[in-house]
Amino acid sequence: MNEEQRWIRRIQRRSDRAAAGELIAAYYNEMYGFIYKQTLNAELAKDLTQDTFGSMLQTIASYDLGKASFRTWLYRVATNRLVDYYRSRYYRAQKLHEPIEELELPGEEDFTISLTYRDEVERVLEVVNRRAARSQQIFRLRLFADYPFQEIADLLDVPLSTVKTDYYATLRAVRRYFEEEENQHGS
Amino acid sequence: MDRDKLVVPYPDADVVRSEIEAIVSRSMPPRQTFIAYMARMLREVGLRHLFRDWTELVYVSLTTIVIVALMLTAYLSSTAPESSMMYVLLFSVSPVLYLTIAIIFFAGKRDQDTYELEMVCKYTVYQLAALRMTVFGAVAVAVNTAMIGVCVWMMPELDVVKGWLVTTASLTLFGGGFLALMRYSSSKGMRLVYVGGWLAVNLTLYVWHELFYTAVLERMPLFGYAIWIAAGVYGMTRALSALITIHHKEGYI
Amino acid sequence: MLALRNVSKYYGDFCALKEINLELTHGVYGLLAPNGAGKTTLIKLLVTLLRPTTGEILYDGQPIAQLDERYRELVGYLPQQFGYYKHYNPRQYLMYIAALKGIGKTAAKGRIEELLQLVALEGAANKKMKTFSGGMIQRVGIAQAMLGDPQLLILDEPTAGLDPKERVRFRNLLSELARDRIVILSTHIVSDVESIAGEIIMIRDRRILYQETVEALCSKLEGQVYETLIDYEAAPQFRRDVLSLSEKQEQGMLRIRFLSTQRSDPSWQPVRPQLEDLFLDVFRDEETGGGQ
Repeated sequence: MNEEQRWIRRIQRRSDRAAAGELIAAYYNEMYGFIYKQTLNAELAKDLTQDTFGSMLQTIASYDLGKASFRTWLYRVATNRLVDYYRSRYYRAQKLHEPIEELELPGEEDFTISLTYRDEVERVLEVVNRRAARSQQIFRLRLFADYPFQEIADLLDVPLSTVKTDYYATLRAVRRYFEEEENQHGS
Repeated sequence: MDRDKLVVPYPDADVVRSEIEAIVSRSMPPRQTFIAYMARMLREVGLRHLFRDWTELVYVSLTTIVIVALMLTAYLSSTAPESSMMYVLLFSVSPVLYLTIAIIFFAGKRDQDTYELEMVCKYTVYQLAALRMTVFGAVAVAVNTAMIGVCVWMMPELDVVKGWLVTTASLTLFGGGFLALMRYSSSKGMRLVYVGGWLAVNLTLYVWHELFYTAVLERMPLFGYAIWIAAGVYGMTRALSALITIHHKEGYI
Repeated sequence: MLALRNVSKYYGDFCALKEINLELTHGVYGLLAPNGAGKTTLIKLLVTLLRPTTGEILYDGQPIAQLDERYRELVGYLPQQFGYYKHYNPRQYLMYIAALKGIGKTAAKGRIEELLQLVALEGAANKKMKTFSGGMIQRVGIAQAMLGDPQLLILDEPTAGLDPKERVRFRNLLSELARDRIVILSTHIVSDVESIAGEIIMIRDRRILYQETVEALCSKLEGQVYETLIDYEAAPQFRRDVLSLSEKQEQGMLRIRFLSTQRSDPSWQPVRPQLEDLFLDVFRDEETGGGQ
């Protein structure tokens, strides 16, 4: 971690390209994996990974070593880029802001998603890519990056209950989609 | 039916390496050279708009030049002008024009209403300031050269080359110092401190002019001056480049 | 599309804006909130005068921090305090700004003539700006913002200090300009944006409260807005029970327009909610002494 902090400082102070290269190398595969699982397309994943790190370098001046962890900050940048990509394509389909009152009452979902099989992930993405921006952020961070709800709540500065409600609402939408698909194709 | 497992096709190490290189060069590009950027800005903005306030500039410049000229002439017409003192004088007056204009016209434009709007244009207040100072630096060198010419004419013992080197070295030293100061502080107080410091240095030089002359100005070989000037120009270029890319820091306001 | 994703702005510990998410595609967007609520901060973030503490602002998928000069070329900005040079006439001033925007002299000349016509200032094109009225200055402000034919026209409280006739003229002008670009207009005067905005963005407690059409916003108060006539003496008591939205003198009595969740009295006439009503309801606490 200390080495990482040194790299970051060098980039911030002197635009040190070697340090930039080291920093990206340390996180490249992790970010690529995170993004690939949500795009299922190697070319697109490569482009979005490039965008993510590019954006990271451009805005690293405002990253505060003291506050958030770098890894978390980087995940936010990646998530934002993914959300932006899909929102640009599907913004007509779904409004940006879900008024909180209109979400259904919360209830724990025992419907679980495993990311083992490709076709299952495809179907999940069909639904998620069309959701409102914040719902996407919450869902992606939880499902694809394994962030605990509390951390997501702190990160997005949103109450814990809202995060959970939003997440389960998306999960329900996914479950409904799965059920519809099964009804149409049978198993 | 065999379901495809989700497997992440991580790119090969060499692909990753070239990706990283692409990312770094795209996001941290080697900036267009200072000169090329300045030339483009000058071409697109034009001298007339760059020096919108040229009447005031000319007025202040002429006043300054006249005062300096009077000072020098006074000394040269005094009973026993020494060339050593003359070099010291030249050393101290050469940055005056540049510093006067820099302090009055180039520094601290943040208080004006026009600031916000002009910061959102293609060429921002800081970038224009950098160009103005570059152009004016050239003007200052030209004025100094003319001044040397006149002094040599009035006091033939003076060496033209040495005189020019002394004035240019002083200009890059104190002008560069001021630019460096501006980069870190935009308060009016600091500018006064700088001017005060410069005055103090010069007063000391007058008192010990013989010492300064023999110890520094005379001993320095031409080559030494060349290095001094080159370093000064480099420093000034760095400071002006920083002005151009100042947005890397936290916003403008 | 201009997108703000999780944008927050902090000055040390002080929070000016929190977790702002916005997507803007085309037309007029009214940024509505009382003074001090963060409108100007948001505007400054959009024009790169400020940088977000967290989050990103993306134009067509690219961070504006990365686009830098190329983004500024797409932006036409009219700040709240529009500084100009008094001894210039509009033509000279516009030529100057055109130079700062890197627009060539010949192209600039043609464009300036078009713009002077657009803002109806061709007649005054050679008069020094120090002789101009507030409305004329603002029109020069719009002209300068439009110089580069920007994709994003961003105006911070552009109607402050204009008389009603000039405000109408302004609205019509903006409506026309919005056809080919995104126009973002910040104001605390509801009537400025009510008739021309495609969507209204309301900020409260440093976050986005609503981003919706005027109709959708008005319907939130459906069935809660009434009008009635009461005696002046009865007014103070009345005001304690309901939120008064506006009051007018009528035939020696007070016609009061107000908000109530129930129709406690059959003499109350239900009326169609207006945007102003929602504004007063949403910002009722902040009207009384909050904000700077």
